[in-house]
Amino acid sequence: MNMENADNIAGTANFEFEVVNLSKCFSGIRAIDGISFKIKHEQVVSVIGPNGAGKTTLINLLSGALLPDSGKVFFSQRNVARFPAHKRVSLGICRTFQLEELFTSMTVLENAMVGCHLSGNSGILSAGFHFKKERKEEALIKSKAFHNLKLIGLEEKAFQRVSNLPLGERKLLGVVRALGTRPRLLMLDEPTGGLAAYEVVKFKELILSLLQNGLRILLVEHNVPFVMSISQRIIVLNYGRKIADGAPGVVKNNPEVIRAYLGDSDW
Amino acid sequence: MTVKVFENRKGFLFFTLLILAGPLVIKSNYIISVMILIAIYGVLSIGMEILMGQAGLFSLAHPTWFGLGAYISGILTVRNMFPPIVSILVAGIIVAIVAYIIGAPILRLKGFYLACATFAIIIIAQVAASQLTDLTGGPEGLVGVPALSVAGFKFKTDLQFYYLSWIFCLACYLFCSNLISSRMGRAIKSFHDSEVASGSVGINVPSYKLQVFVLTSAMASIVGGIFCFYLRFVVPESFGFLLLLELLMMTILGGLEDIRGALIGTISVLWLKEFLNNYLRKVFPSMSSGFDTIFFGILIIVVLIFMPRGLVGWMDRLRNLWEKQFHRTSGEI
Repeated sequence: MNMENADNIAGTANFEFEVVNLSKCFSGIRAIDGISFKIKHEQVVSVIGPNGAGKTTLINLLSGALLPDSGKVFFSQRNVARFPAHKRVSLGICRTFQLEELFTSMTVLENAMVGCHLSGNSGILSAGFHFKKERKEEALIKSKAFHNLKLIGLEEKAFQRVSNLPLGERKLLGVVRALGTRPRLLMLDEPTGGLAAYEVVKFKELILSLLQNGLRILLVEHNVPFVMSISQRIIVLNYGRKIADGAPGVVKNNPEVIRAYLGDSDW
Repeated sequence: MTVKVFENRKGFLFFTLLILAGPLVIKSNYIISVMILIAIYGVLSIGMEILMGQAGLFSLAHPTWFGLGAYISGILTVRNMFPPIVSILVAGIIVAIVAYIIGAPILRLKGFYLACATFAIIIIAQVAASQLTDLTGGPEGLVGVPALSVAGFKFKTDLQFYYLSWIFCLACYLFCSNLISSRMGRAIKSFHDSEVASGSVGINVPSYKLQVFVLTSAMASIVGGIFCFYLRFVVPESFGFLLLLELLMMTILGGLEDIRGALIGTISVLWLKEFLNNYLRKVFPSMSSGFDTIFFGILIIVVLIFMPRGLVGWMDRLRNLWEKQFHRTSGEI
């Protein structure tokens, strides 16, 4: 555990994530239109905007689920814009999904173990012949997965099928799975969507506890009070363009943001 | 989870002992010859099970890898290029390379499209096998395959082939069941559920697809070589659409979700087929051949509707009932 902390803190020192002029079209519609921003010191950066503004597309582009038409994404001085998703994960960029995308045929523990996939490197032969190295690795992955489940408070459900979990716990399991990859930048796609008020409070505590390990978070969210209370910086998208970027207090009073998304308070 | 693995191991040991000791009790040549076919087709359906049930790849080209293995090892031996056992292994390597070259582009396709493309491979291979007369012997088949000999020991009797094929089959089963309960196995199952999520935890999906594809085709090829030396000839019909149908029947009847289903399905389908051909033909003398094909066509539909988890699903349900009856807890699922 100490080792992990040391790693992560060492990682914070030279953390730099920069998006330059990123664009993506879907059959003529500019879903993401020349977006640029840079994350260096902020721990939680949020992306908000009306439906269809391109928030999820942005996460898909940054995580490698989609490739951009043009633009660059720099992470640790490397342009990762055209890297496949699994390669970005090994560099430390990980994401969760709006609709969880859990592995429904597996148990909770197995989902967490798939998250720890990168903790092992045994190949097809050592798996098939069940070599000692593979058995050791398997035990290590299992203990790591259990550790992550405990961190989030899901260890009692470890042997349940994913399909039996309520929505809130499925969202949490999505985070557990992502934590298994030991990310440096975690992108959460609408983590509080569909959650009850007390679950949102719990989620906020969870995020704050993760930050202690030096993790950076890019949050896409519709719950404005939640976003305002947790982020150091907010980026507002509308029709694929960035219309505002700054501290919560500044963004809240930006007239364009009010018109596009937040709405007039005296409406 | 631990309990289940342990029980599977016990079941596997019991089954292995049964197979190894079987010929000491049963002396019937007929039963032995059917059991040899079961071992050979068993390897194929284990491969199909891994591809379709675990990885979710609807690859139908399995009969082709089996046929290529048989033809290549046969041709290499007939032309005196390699001794039999070496040519089986060389055929395995050649087929693995071919599967790699074909798989790299074709595995980008998904679901129905992959099924179509791999089905095309079967048809191409069938036509090639009957047209390339100089190489394959054409529709009459490749004849004059010598006996399989390993370091002076000649495999002649059915009993020797029984042990050879079953040892290979059980080894493949053990290898594959180890594989699917490992880190790689979880990765394979994960992209069956959600490819985008697998990528998001760092799993290189295309590479794993290709590895599974190459592994199962090499297994099919080697067992094809054993098949070739068992029959001592190879004909194109053995590797066509009908074999594919039988393999699908075996994996679906056995249960797609569980690797035990592959062996259980193979045993049930081949014995059912023997039963249909031997006894029902006496009851319905007007039916000529093809009776079993009609029956299996209907059976596939019935199984898919009424028992989607196959015979393995039934077995597990029976065991659960049994355990409830005697108040035994099965531990964690």
